[in-house]
Amino acid sequence: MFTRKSLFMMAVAGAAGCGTAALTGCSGDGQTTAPLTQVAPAAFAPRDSAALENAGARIWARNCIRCHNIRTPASFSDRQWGIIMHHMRVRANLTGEQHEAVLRFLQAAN
Amino acid sequence: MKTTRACIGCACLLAGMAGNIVRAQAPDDRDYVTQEQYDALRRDFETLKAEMRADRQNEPATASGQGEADGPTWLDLERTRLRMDAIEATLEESRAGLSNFMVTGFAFTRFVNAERMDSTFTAKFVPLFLWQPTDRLLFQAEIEFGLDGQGETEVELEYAEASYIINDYLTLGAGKFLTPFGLFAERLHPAWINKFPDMPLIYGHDGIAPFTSLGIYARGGVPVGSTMFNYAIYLSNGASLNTGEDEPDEAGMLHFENFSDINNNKSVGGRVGFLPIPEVEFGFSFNWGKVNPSGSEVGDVDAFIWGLDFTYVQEVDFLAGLFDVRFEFARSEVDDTVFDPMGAALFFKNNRDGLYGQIAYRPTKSGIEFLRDFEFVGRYDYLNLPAGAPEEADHERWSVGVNYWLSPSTVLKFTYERLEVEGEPDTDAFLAMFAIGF
Ligand code: HEC
Repeated sequence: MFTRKSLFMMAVAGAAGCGTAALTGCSGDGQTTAPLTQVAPAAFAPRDSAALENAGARIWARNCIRCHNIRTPASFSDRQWGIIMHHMRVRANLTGEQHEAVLRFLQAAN
Repeated sequence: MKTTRACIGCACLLAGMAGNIVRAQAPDDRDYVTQEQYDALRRDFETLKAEMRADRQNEPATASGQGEADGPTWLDLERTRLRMDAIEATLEESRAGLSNFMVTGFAFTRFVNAERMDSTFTAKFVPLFLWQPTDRLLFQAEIEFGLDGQGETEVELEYAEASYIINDYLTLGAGKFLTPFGLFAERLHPAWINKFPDMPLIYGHDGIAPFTSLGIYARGGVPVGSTMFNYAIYLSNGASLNTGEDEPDEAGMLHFENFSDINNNKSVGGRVGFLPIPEVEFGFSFNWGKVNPSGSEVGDVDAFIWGLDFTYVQEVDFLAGLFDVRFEFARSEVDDTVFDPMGAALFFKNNRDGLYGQIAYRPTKSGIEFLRDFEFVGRYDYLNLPAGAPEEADHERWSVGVNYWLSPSTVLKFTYERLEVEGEPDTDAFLAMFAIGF
Protein backbone atom coordinates (compact mmCIF):
# COMPACT_ATOMS: atom_id res chain seq x y z
CA MET A 1 0.00 0.00 0.00
CA PHE A 2 2.64 2.51 1.08
CA THR A 3 6.35 2.15 0.72
CA ARG A 4 8.36 2.86 3.84
CA LYS A 5 9.93 5.85 2.22
CA SER A 6 6.62 7.34 1.12
CA LEU A 7 5.13 6.88 4.59
CA PHE A 8 8.04 8.62 6.15
CA MET A 9 7.91 11.42 3.61
CA MET A 10 4.23 11.84 4.30
CA ALA A 11 4.86 12.26 7.99
CA VAL A 12 7.73 14.62 7.48
CA ALA A 13 5.49 16.65 5.21
CA GLY A 14 2.85 16.48 7.91
CA ALA A 15 5.29 17.91 10.37
CA ALA A 16 5.86 20.83 8.00
CA GLY A 17 8.70 19.84 5.81
CA CYS A 18 12.41 20.17 6.07
CA GLY A 19 12.26 21.89 9.43
CA THR A 20 11.17 18.77 11.16
CA ALA A 21 13.50 16.80 8.98
CA ALA A 22 16.18 18.84 10.66
CA LEU A 23 14.69 17.98 14.04
CA THR A 24 14.79 14.34 13.26
CA GLY A 25 18.27 14.63 11.92
CA CYS A 26 17.21 13.47 8.47
CA SER A 27 17.86 16.62 6.47
CA GLY A 28 17.12 16.16 2.82
CA ASP A 29 14.28 13.68 3.24
CA GLY A 30 11.58 16.31 3.60
CA GLN A 31 10.98 17.80 0.19
CA THR A 32 7.82 19.72 0.92
CA THR A 33 7.41 22.85 2.95
CA ALA A 34 3.62 22.62 3.05
CA PRO A 35 2.41 24.02 6.34
CA LEU A 36 1.15 21.51 8.81
CA THR A 37 -2.42 22.75 8.77
CA GLN A 38 -2.78 22.03 5.06
CA VAL A 39 -1.66 18.48 5.49
CA ALA A 40 -3.60 17.55 8.58
CA PRO A 41 -6.76 19.18 9.89
CA ALA A 42 -7.05 19.65 13.62
CA ALA A 43 -7.81 16.13 14.63
CA PHE A 44 -6.37 13.57 16.95
CA ALA A 45 -8.18 10.46 15.86
CA PRO A 46 -8.15 8.82 12.45
CA ARG A 47 -11.83 9.63 11.89
CA ASP A 48 -12.06 9.20 8.16
CA SER A 49 -8.67 7.77 7.43
CA ALA A 50 -8.30 5.31 4.62
CA ALA A 51 -5.27 3.79 6.24
CA LEU A 52 -4.26 3.52 9.84
CA GLU A 53 -0.63 4.14 8.92
CA ASN A 54 -1.60 7.38 7.23
CA ALA A 55 -3.42 8.52 10.37
CA GLY A 56 -0.50 7.27 12.44
CA ALA A 57 1.88 9.44 10.44
CA ARG A 58 -0.22 12.52 11.15
CA ILE A 59 -0.64 11.76 14.84
CA TRP A 60 3.09 11.08 15.09
CA ALA A 61 4.03 14.34 13.41
CA ARG A 62 1.74 16.49 15.56
CA ASN A 63 1.64 14.74 18.92
CA CYS A 64 5.06 13.27 19.44
CA ILE A 65 6.71 16.70 19.30
CA ARG A 66 4.64 17.99 22.23
CA CYS A 67 7.18 17.01 24.83
CA HIS A 68 10.45 16.30 23.04
CA ASN A 69 12.15 16.20 19.65
CA ILE A 70 10.91 13.53 17.32
CA ARG A 71 13.13 10.54 16.68
CA THR A 72 13.04 9.08 13.18
CA PRO A 73 11.24 5.78 12.65
CA ALA A 74 14.62 4.30 11.70
CA SER A 75 15.96 5.01 15.19
CA PHE A 76 14.46 1.82 16.58
CA SER A 77 13.49 -1.68 15.46
CA ASP A 78 9.88 -2.86 15.23
CA ARG A 79 10.21 -4.66 18.54
CA GLN A 80 11.69 -1.60 20.27
CA TRP A 81 8.95 0.66 18.89
CA GLY A 82 6.42 -1.79 20.32
CA ILE A 83 7.82 -1.25 23.83
CA ILE A 84 8.41 2.51 23.42
CA MET A 85 4.92 3.17 22.10
CA HIS A 86 3.45 1.31 25.07
CA HIS A 87 5.57 3.54 27.31
CA MET A 88 4.47 6.69 25.45
CA ARG A 89 0.83 5.64 25.46
CA VAL A 90 0.92 5.69 29.25
CA ARG A 91 3.08 8.82 29.53
CA ALA A 92 1.25 10.89 26.95
CA ASN A 93 -2.25 9.57 27.74
CA LEU A 94 -2.84 8.36 24.19
CA THR A 95 -5.99 6.41 23.36
CA GLY A 96 -5.77 2.81 22.18
CA GLU A 97 -6.53 3.92 18.64
CA GLN A 98 -3.83 6.60 18.57
CA HIS A 99 -1.34 4.15 20.04
CA GLU A 100 -2.05 1.55 17.40
CA ALA A 101 -2.01 4.02 14.51
CA VAL A 102 1.35 5.54 15.47
CA LEU A 103 2.86 2.12 16.13
CA ARG A 104 1.74 0.82 12.74
CA PHE A 105 3.21 3.85 11.05
CA LEU A 106 6.55 3.63 12.87
CA GLN A 107 6.88 -0.08 12.19
CA ALA A 108 6.04 0.40 8.51
CA ALA A 109 8.35 3.37 8.04
CA ASN A 110 11.47 2.26 9.91
CA MET B 1 30.70 -28.46 -3.01
CA LYS B 2 31.68 -28.26 -6.65
CA THR B 3 34.42 -30.83 -6.06
CA THR B 4 31.99 -33.18 -4.38
CA ARG B 5 29.58 -32.92 -7.27
CA ALA B 6 32.40 -33.57 -9.74
CA CYS B 7 33.54 -36.59 -7.74
CA ILE B 8 30.07 -38.07 -7.69
CA GLY B 9 29.79 -37.45 -11.43
CA CYS B 10 33.11 -39.17 -12.01
CA ALA B 11 32.24 -42.09 -9.85
CA CYS B 12 29.00 -42.66 -11.77
CA LEU B 13 30.79 -42.35 -15.08
CA LEU B 14 33.51 -44.72 -14.05
CA ALA B 15 30.99 -47.14 -12.64
CA GLY B 16 29.09 -46.91 -15.90
CA MET B 17 32.24 -47.46 -17.92
CA ALA B 18 33.39 -50.29 -15.74
CA GLY B 19 29.99 -51.91 -16.17
CA ASN B 20 30.27 -51.56 -19.90
CA ILE B 21 33.77 -52.99 -19.99
CA VAL B 22 32.71 -55.97 -17.90
CA ARG B 23 29.75 -56.41 -20.13
CA ALA B 24 32.00 -55.94 -23.17
CA GLN B 25 33.68 -59.17 -22.24
CA ALA B 26 30.35 -60.99 -22.18
CA PRO B 27 29.32 -62.84 -25.28
CA ASP B 28 25.99 -60.97 -25.71
CA ASP B 29 26.26 -58.56 -28.72
CA ARG B 30 23.82 -56.07 -27.28
CA ASP B 31 26.30 -55.25 -24.52
CA TYR B 32 29.11 -54.09 -26.81
CA VAL B 33 29.80 -50.35 -27.15
CA THR B 34 30.53 -48.78 -30.46
CA GLN B 35 33.73 -46.81 -30.99
CA GLU B 36 31.56 -43.67 -31.15
CA GLN B 37 29.94 -44.34 -27.80
CA TYR B 38 33.30 -45.14 -26.30
CA ASP B 39 34.80 -41.87 -27.59
CA ALA B 40 31.86 -39.84 -26.25
CA LEU B 41 32.19 -41.38 -22.81
CA ARG B 42 35.93 -40.85 -22.90
CA ARG B 43 35.45 -37.15 -23.77
CA ASP B 44 33.03 -36.72 -20.87
CA PHE B 45 35.48 -38.39 -18.56
CA GLU B 46 38.36 -36.18 -19.70
CA THR B 47 36.24 -33.03 -19.25
CA LEU B 48 35.35 -34.04 -15.70
CA LYS B 49 38.95 -34.81 -14.91
CA ALA B 50 40.00 -31.37 -16.18
CA GLU B 51 37.28 -29.69 -14.09
CA MET B 52 38.42 -31.50 -10.99
CA ARG B 53 42.00 -30.49 -11.62
CA ALA B 54 41.00 -26.86 -12.11
CA ASP B 55 38.96 -26.97 -8.92
CA ARG B 56 41.85 -28.35 -6.95
CA GLN B 57 44.14 -25.64 -8.31
CA ASN B 58 41.60 -22.99 -7.38
CA GLU B 59 41.36 -23.94 -3.73
CA PRO B 60 44.72 -22.63 -2.51
CA ALA B 61 44.61 -19.79 -5.04
CA THR B 62 41.35 -18.41 -3.62
CA ALA B 63 42.57 -18.79 -0.09
CA SER B 64 45.35 -16.38 -0.96
CA GLY B 65 42.90 -13.98 -2.56
CA GLN B 66 43.38 -14.94 -6.23
CA GLY B 67 40.95 -16.53 -8.61
CA GLU B 68 38.01 -14.35 -7.47
CA ALA B 69 37.28 -13.38 -11.04
CA ASP B 70 36.17 -16.96 -11.83
CA GLY B 71 33.10 -16.58 -9.63
CA PRO B 72 32.44 -17.96 -6.16
CA THR B 73 34.65 -20.77 -4.98
CA TRP B 74 34.10 -23.27 -2.21
CA LEU B 75 35.77 -20.89 0.24
CA ASP B 76 33.38 -18.06 -0.65
CA LEU B 77 30.49 -20.42 -0.24
CA GLU B 78 31.81 -21.58 3.08
CA ARG B 79 32.22 -17.99 4.25
CA THR B 80 28.68 -17.16 3.16
CA ARG B 81 27.37 -20.20 5.00
CA LEU B 82 29.13 -19.13 8.21
CA ARG B 83 27.77 -15.61 7.84
CA MET B 84 24.27 -16.97 7.31
CA ASP B 85 24.64 -19.09 10.45
CA ALA B 86 25.70 -16.02 12.44
CA ILE B 87 22.77 -13.94 11.13
CA GLU B 88 20.38 -16.76 11.95
CA ALA B 89 21.76 -16.94 15.48
CA THR B 90 21.39 -13.15 15.94
CA LEU B 91 17.85 -13.23 14.64
CA GLU B 92 17.04 -16.08 16.97
CA GLU B 93 18.48 -14.15 19.91
CA SER B 94 16.45 -11.04 19.18
CA ARG B 95 13.22 -12.85 18.50
CA ALA B 96 10.46 -11.12 20.41
CA GLY B 97 9.21 -14.15 22.28
CA LEU B 98 6.60 -13.39 24.85
CA SER B 99 8.39 -10.77 26.90
CA ASN B 100 10.02 -7.62 25.54
CA PHE B 101 12.76 -5.81 27.37
CA MET B 102 14.82 -2.74 26.56
CA VAL B 103 17.09 -0.23 28.22
CA THR B 104 16.94 3.47 27.32
CA GLY B 105 17.43 6.55 29.50
CA PHE B 106 19.83 9.46 29.54
CA ALA B 107 23.11 10.81 30.88
CA PHE B 108 24.58 14.24 31.33
CA THR B 109 27.57 16.26 32.45
CA ARG B 110 26.92 19.71 33.87
CA PHE B 111 29.19 22.61 34.66
CA VAL B 112 28.06 25.34 37.05
CA ASN B 113 29.98 28.52 37.75
CA ALA B 114 28.03 30.77 40.13
CA GLU B 115 29.23 33.93 41.81
CA ARG B 116 30.63 33.46 45.33
CA MET B 117 30.67 29.68 44.87
CA ASP B 118 33.27 27.21 43.67
CA SER B 119 32.61 26.16 40.10
CA THR B 120 32.08 22.48 39.59
CA PHE B 121 31.32 19.69 37.15
CA THR B 122 28.71 17.08 37.98
CA ALA B 123 27.59 14.04 36.04
CA LYS B 124 24.69 11.60 36.11
CA PHE B 125 23.81 8.41 34.37
CA VAL B 126 20.11 7.56 34.39
CA PRO B 127 19.20 4.26 32.74
CA LEU B 128 15.53 3.49 32.17
CA PHE B 129 14.43 -0.13 32.05
CA LEU B 130 11.30 -0.98 30.11
CA TRP B 131 9.79 -4.42 30.26
CA GLN B 132 6.61 -5.34 28.44
CA PRO B 133 5.59 -8.85 29.52
CA THR B 134 2.30 -8.64 27.59
CA ASP B 135 0.57 -6.16 25.26
CA ARG B 136 -1.24 -4.67 28.23
CA LEU B 137 1.39 -4.82 30.93
CA LEU B 138 4.40 -2.48 31.18
CA PHE B 139 7.03 -2.22 33.85
CA GLN B 140 9.26 0.87 33.85
CA ALA B 141 12.05 1.77 36.24
CA GLU B 142 14.52 4.65 36.12
CA ILE B 143 17.61 4.62 38.30
CA GLU B 144 19.77 7.66 38.83
CA PHE B 145 23.49 7.17 39.37
CA GLY B 146 25.34 10.25 40.58
CA LEU B 147 28.44 11.18 42.55
CA ASP B 148 28.52 12.90 45.91
CA GLY B 149 31.21 15.33 47.11
CA GLN B 150 33.25 12.50 48.63
CA GLY B 151 33.49 10.56 45.40
CA GLU B 152 30.97 7.95 46.46
CA THR B 153 28.37 6.80 43.95
CA GLU B 154 24.84 7.83 44.85
CA VAL B 155 22.03 5.66 43.61
CA GLU B 156 18.41 6.75 43.60
CA LEU B 157 15.36 4.93 42.39
CA GLU B 158 13.71 7.73 40.42
CA TYR B 159 10.68 5.63 39.60
CA ALA B 160 9.65 1.98 39.37
CA GLU B 161 6.08 1.19 38.42
CA ALA B 162 3.91 -1.33 36.65
CA SER B 163 0.91 -0.32 34.57
CA TYR B 164 -1.91 -2.27 33.00
CA ILE B 165 -4.03 -1.15 30.06
CA ILE B 166 -7.67 -1.78 30.95
CA ASN B 167 -9.18 -0.40 27.75
CA ASP B 168 -8.64 2.26 25.09
CA TYR B 169 -9.17 5.07 27.59
CA LEU B 170 -7.96 3.71 30.95
CA THR B 171 -4.64 2.47 32.30
CA LEU B 172 -4.06 1.51 35.93
CA GLY B 173 -0.67 1.58 37.61
CA ALA B 174 1.13 1.10 40.89
CA GLY B 175 4.57 1.76 42.31
CA LYS B 176 6.79 4.80 42.59
CA PHE B 177 5.87 7.04 39.69
CA LEU B 178 6.62 10.53 38.39
CA THR B 179 3.74 12.57 39.78
CA PRO B 180 1.25 13.66 37.13
CA PHE B 181 1.19 17.15 38.59
CA GLY B 182 1.97 19.98 36.19
CA LEU B 183 4.44 19.45 33.39
CA PHE B 184 7.99 19.31 34.56
CA ALA B 185 8.27 16.08 36.58
CA GLU B 186 6.48 13.82 34.17
CA ARG B 187 7.28 15.39 30.84
CA LEU B 188 10.30 17.61 30.93
CA HIS B 189 12.73 16.43 33.60
CA PRO B 190 15.01 14.19 31.46
CA ALA B 191 18.14 16.17 30.62
CA TRP B 192 17.70 15.59 26.86
CA ILE B 193 14.20 17.12 27.04
CA ASN B 194 14.62 19.98 29.53
CA LYS B 195 15.67 23.15 27.67
CA PHE B 196 17.82 24.31 30.60
CA PRO B 197 20.59 22.66 32.62
CA ASP B 198 18.59 23.07 35.86
CA MET B 199 15.05 22.71 37.22
CA PRO B 200 12.47 25.46 37.68
CA LEU B 201 12.42 26.82 41.25
CA ILE B 202 9.01 25.32 42.07
CA TYR B 203 10.52 21.81 41.71
CA GLY B 204 13.32 20.16 43.61
CA HIS B 205 14.16 19.94 47.29
CA ASP B 206 13.10 23.48 48.15
CA GLY B 207 10.20 23.48 45.70
CA ILE B 208 6.49 23.19 46.29
CA ALA B 209 5.26 20.79 43.59
CA PRO B 210 5.42 17.01 43.98
CA PHE B 211 7.96 15.20 41.79
CA THR B 212 7.45 11.52 42.50
CA SER B 213 4.74 9.65 44.43
CA LEU B 214 4.41 6.19 45.86
CA GLY B 215 0.98 4.66 45.37
CA ILE B 216 -1.53 3.79 42.68
CA TYR B 217 -2.97 5.67 39.72
CA ALA B 218 -5.52 5.62 36.91
CA ARG B 219 -5.00 7.60 33.71
CA GLY B 220 -5.90 7.90 30.06
CA GLY B 221 -7.02 10.08 27.21
CA VAL B 222 -10.50 10.71 25.79
CA PRO B 223 -11.17 12.36 22.42
CA VAL B 224 -14.16 14.71 22.36
CA GLY B 225 -14.98 15.76 18.83
CA SER B 226 -11.81 17.07 17.34
CA THR B 227 -10.41 17.97 20.77
CA MET B 228 -8.81 15.80 23.40
CA PHE B 229 -8.97 15.46 27.17
CA ASN B 230 -6.51 13.58 29.29
CA TYR B 231 -6.62 12.74 32.97
CA ALA B 232 -4.60 11.17 35.74
CA ILE B 233 -5.71 10.53 39.30
CA TYR B 234 -3.62 8.98 42.05
CA LEU B 235 -3.63 7.90 45.66
CA SER B 236 -0.25 8.06 47.36
CA ASN B 237 1.66 8.28 50.63
CA GLY B 238 1.59 12.02 50.02
CA ALA B 239 3.88 14.71 51.30
CA SER B 240 5.35 14.97 54.78
CA LEU B 241 5.56 18.19 56.75
CA ASN B 242 8.91 19.15 58.16
CA THR B 243 8.10 20.00 61.77
CA GLY B 244 11.52 21.51 62.31
CA GLU B 245 12.43 19.09 65.09
CA ASP B 246 15.45 17.72 63.21
CA GLU B 247 16.00 20.51 60.68
CA PRO B 248 14.87 23.82 62.24
CA ASP B 249 15.67 25.72 59.03
CA GLU B 250 13.15 23.70 57.10
CA ALA B 251 10.20 23.97 59.51
CA GLY B 252 6.99 24.21 57.50
CA MET B 253 8.40 22.78 54.26
CA LEU B 254 6.74 19.86 52.52
CA HIS B 255 8.86 16.91 51.43
CA PHE B 256 7.69 14.51 48.80
CA GLU B 257 10.15 11.68 49.47
CA ASN B 258 7.63 10.10 51.82
CA PHE B 259 8.40 6.48 51.10
CA SER B 260 7.13 4.85 54.26
CA ASP B 261 4.19 6.99 55.13
CA ILE B 262 4.50 9.21 58.19
CA ASN B 263 0.77 8.95 58.84
CA ASN B 264 -2.22 6.76 58.10
CA ASN B 265 -3.76 9.17 55.65
CA LYS B 266 -3.17 8.91 51.97
CA SER B 267 -2.99 11.84 49.60
CA VAL B 268 -5.18 12.14 46.58
CA GLY B 269 -4.13 14.07 43.52
CA GLY B 270 -4.44 14.34 39.80
CA ARG B 271 -4.32 16.38 36.66
CA VAL B 272 -6.78 17.13 33.86
CA GLY B 273 -5.48 18.31 30.53
CA PHE B 274 -7.40 19.77 27.60
CA LEU B 275 -6.02 19.98 24.07
CA PRO B 276 -8.21 22.00 21.70
CA ILE B 277 -5.61 21.17 19.02
CA PRO B 278 -2.57 18.90 19.42
CA GLU B 279 -0.24 21.91 19.62
CA VAL B 280 -1.93 23.49 22.65
CA GLU B 281 -2.65 22.09 26.10
CA PHE B 282 -4.14 23.58 29.26
CA GLY B 283 -3.81 21.67 32.51
CA PHE B 284 -5.08 21.81 36.08
CA SER B 285 -3.43 19.75 38.83
CA PHE B 286 -4.08 19.22 42.52
CA ASN B 287 -2.75 17.23 45.46
CA TRP B 288 -4.49 17.07 48.81
CA GLY B 289 -3.75 15.14 52.00
CA LYS B 290 -2.74 15.09 55.64
CA VAL B 291 0.94 15.89 56.01
CA ASN B 292 1.70 15.83 59.74
CA PRO B 293 3.62 12.88 61.16
CA SER B 294 1.41 10.65 63.39
CA GLY B 295 1.52 11.77 67.01
CA SER B 296 3.45 14.93 66.22
CA GLU B 297 2.97 18.06 68.35
CA VAL B 298 1.93 20.10 65.31
CA GLY B 299 -1.47 18.35 65.39
CA ASP B 300 -3.59 17.57 62.32
CA VAL B 301 -2.31 19.47 59.31
CA ASP B 302 -3.69 19.22 55.77
CA ALA B 303 -1.96 20.52 52.67
CA PHE B 304 -3.62 21.44 49.42
CA ILE B 305 -1.40 22.06 46.42
CA TRP B 306 -2.79 23.10 43.09
CA GLY B 307 -1.37 24.19 39.79
CA LEU B 308 -2.08 25.46 36.31
CA ASP B 309 -0.05 24.75 33.21
CA PHE B 310 0.03 25.67 29.57
CA THR B 311 1.89 24.22 26.59
CA TYR B 312 2.22 25.45 23.04
CA VAL B 313 4.52 23.66 20.61
CA GLN B 314 4.32 24.40 16.91
CA GLU B 315 6.43 25.01 13.87
CA VAL B 316 5.42 28.48 12.70
CA ASP B 317 5.92 29.02 8.99
CA PHE B 318 6.28 32.77 8.85
CA LEU B 319 8.81 32.72 11.68
CA ALA B 320 10.65 29.83 10.05
CA GLY B 321 10.98 27.78 13.19
CA LEU B 322 9.64 25.71 16.03
CA PHE B 323 8.24 27.42 19.10
CA ASP B 324 8.05 25.63 22.42
CA VAL B 325 6.27 27.67 25.09
CA ARG B 326 5.57 26.39 28.63
CA PHE B 327 4.06 27.95 31.66
CA GLU B 328 3.40 26.48 35.10
CA PHE B 329 2.04 27.98 38.26
CA ALA B 330 1.80 26.12 41.58
CA ARG B 331 0.52 27.10 44.99
CA SER B 332 0.77 25.17 48.24
CA GLU B 333 -1.54 25.94 51.16
CA VAL B 334 -0.77 24.25 54.48
CA ASP B 335 -3.11 24.46 57.50
CA ASP B 336 -2.11 26.81 60.28
CA THR B 337 -0.06 25.27 63.04
CA VAL B 338 2.60 26.24 65.53
CA PHE B 339 6.10 24.88 64.93
CA ASP B 340 8.45 24.50 67.81
CA PRO B 341 11.97 24.23 66.48
CA MET B 342 14.42 24.33 69.36
CA GLY B 343 11.74 25.27 71.89
CA ALA B 344 10.82 28.62 70.32
CA ALA B 345 7.18 28.69 69.21
CA LEU B 346 6.94 29.76 65.61
CA PHE B 347 3.82 30.65 63.73
CA PHE B 348 3.45 31.77 60.12
CA LYS B 349 0.88 31.52 57.34
CA ASN B 350 2.32 28.56 55.52
CA ASN B 351 1.39 29.40 51.93
CA ARG B 352 3.87 29.29 49.08
CA ASP B 353 3.57 29.85 45.37
CA GLY B 354 5.72 30.05 42.32
CA LEU B 355 5.76 29.83 38.58
CA TYR B 356 7.93 29.57 35.55
CA GLY B 357 7.36 30.65 31.97
CA GLN B 358 9.76 29.59 29.28
CA ILE B 359 10.08 29.93 25.56
CA ALA B 360 12.32 28.14 23.12
CA TYR B 361 12.73 28.96 19.46
CA ARG B 362 14.57 26.79 16.99
CA PRO B 363 14.91 28.06 13.41
CA THR B 364 14.10 24.67 11.93
CA LYS B 365 13.07 26.19 8.62
CA SER B 366 15.85 28.70 8.29
CA GLY B 367 17.48 28.98 4.86
CA ILE B 368 20.83 28.66 6.58
CA GLU B 369 21.10 24.95 7.31
CA PHE B 370 23.70 25.42 10.04
CA LEU B 371 21.28 27.55 12.09
CA ARG B 372 18.62 24.86 12.23
CA ASP B 373 20.41 22.98 14.98
CA PHE B 374 20.53 25.98 17.30
CA GLU B 375 17.84 26.76 19.83
CA PHE B 376 17.42 30.02 21.70
CA VAL B 377 15.80 29.75 25.12
CA GLY B 378 14.56 32.09 27.82
CA ARG B 379 12.92 31.48 31.19
CA TYR B 380 11.57 33.50 34.06
CA ASP B 381 10.69 31.90 37.37
CA TYR B 382 10.00 32.82 40.95
CA LEU B 383 9.20 31.18 44.27
CA ASN B 384 7.45 33.04 47.09
CA LEU B 385 8.05 31.69 50.58
CA PRO B 386 5.97 32.49 53.69
CA ALA B 387 6.98 35.57 55.65
CA GLY B 388 8.02 34.57 59.15
CA ALA B 389 9.18 31.07 58.17
CA PRO B 390 12.81 30.10 58.93
CA GLU B 391 13.42 30.30 55.18
CA GLU B 392 11.34 33.19 54.00
CA ALA B 393 13.38 34.91 51.30
CA ASP B 394 11.55 35.02 47.97
CA HIS B 395 13.47 33.91 44.90
CA GLU B 396 13.31 35.34 41.41
CA ARG B 397 15.40 34.22 38.45
CA TRP B 398 16.02 35.09 34.81
CA SER B 399 17.68 32.58 32.49
CA VAL B 400 18.71 32.86 28.85
CA GLY B 401 20.56 30.33 26.81
CA VAL B 402 21.61 28.79 23.54
CA ASN B 403 21.34 25.08 22.88
CA TYR B 404 22.97 23.18 20.07
CA TRP B 405 21.32 19.92 18.99
CA LEU B 406 23.75 17.29 17.73
CA SER B 407 20.91 14.80 17.24
CA PRO B 408 17.23 14.74 18.26
CA SER B 409 18.28 13.57 21.73
CA THR B 410 21.81 14.92 22.10
CA VAL B 411 22.24 18.53 23.13
CA LEU B 412 24.79 21.03 24.32
CA LYS B 413 23.25 23.75 26.53
CA PHE B 414 24.80 27.06 27.55
CA THR B 415 22.80 29.14 30.00
CA TYR B 416 23.33 32.41 31.79
CA GLU B 417 21.25 33.06 34.91
CA ARG B 418 20.61 35.85 37.35
CA LEU B 419 19.12 34.82 40.68
CA GLU B 420 17.67 37.42 43.01
CA VAL B 421 17.09 36.29 46.56
CA GLU B 422 15.35 38.80 48.82
CA GLY B 423 17.81 40.50 51.14
CA GLU B 424 20.88 39.04 49.43
CA PRO B 425 23.11 40.27 46.62
CA ASP B 426 22.17 39.01 43.16
CA THR B 427 23.94 35.92 41.93
CA ASP B 428 25.03 35.54 38.31
CA ALA B 429 25.75 32.05 37.10
CA PHE B 430 26.94 30.35 33.97
CA LEU B 431 25.80 26.79 33.37
CA ALA B 432 26.68 24.36 30.62
CA MET B 433 25.44 20.86 30.01
CA PHE B 434 26.05 18.04 27.61
CA ALA B 435 23.04 15.71 27.66
CA ILE B 436 22.29 12.60 25.71
CA GLY B 437 19.13 10.49 25.60
CA PHE B 438 19.72 6.97 24.39
C1 HEC C 1 3.43 14.00 27.37
C2 HEC C 1 4.77 14.13 26.90
C3 HEC C 1 5.23 13.17 25.82
C4 HEC C 1 4.65 12.93 24.62
C5 HEC C 1 3.40 13.56 24.04
C6 HEC C 1 5.49 11.95 23.97
N1 HEC C 1 6.56 11.64 24.75
FE1 HEC C 1 8.07 10.37 24.27
N2 HEC C 1 8.91 10.68 26.09
C7 HEC C 1 8.43 11.54 27.06
C8 HEC C 1 9.32 11.51 28.20
C9 HEC C 1 9.17 12.33 29.48
C10 HEC C 1 10.33 10.59 27.89
C11 HEC C 1 11.53 10.21 28.77
C12 HEC C 1 11.14 9.11 29.71
C13 HEC C 1 12.04 9.09 30.91
O1 HEC C 1 13.26 9.17 30.79
O2 HEC C 1 11.48 8.97 32.02
C14 HEC C 1 10.06 10.10 26.55
C15 HEC C 1 10.85 9.18 25.89
C16 HEC C 1 10.69 8.80 24.59
C17 HEC C 1 11.59 7.96 23.84
C18 HEC C 1 12.86 7.33 24.39
C19 HEC C 1 12.58 5.91 24.81
C20 HEC C 1 11.65 5.78 25.99
O3 HEC C 1 10.63 5.08 25.85
O4 HEC C 1 11.92 6.38 27.05
C21 HEC C 1 11.07 7.82 22.58
C22 HEC C 1 11.68 7.06 21.43
C23 HEC C 1 9.82 8.55 22.55
N3 HEC C 1 9.62 9.16 23.77
C24 HEC C 1 8.98 8.61 21.45
C25 HEC C 1 7.73 9.25 21.48
C26 HEC C 1 6.74 9.11 20.44
C27 HEC C 1 6.89 8.27 19.18
C28 HEC C 1 5.69 9.87 20.80
C29 HEC C 1 4.38 10.08 20.07
C30 HEC C 1 3.46 9.02 20.14
C31 HEC C 1 6.01 10.49 22.07
N4 HEC C 1 7.25 10.07 22.46
C32 HEC C 1 5.20 11.40 22.74
C33 HEC C 1 7.31 12.34 26.97
C34 HEC C 1 6.44 12.35 25.90
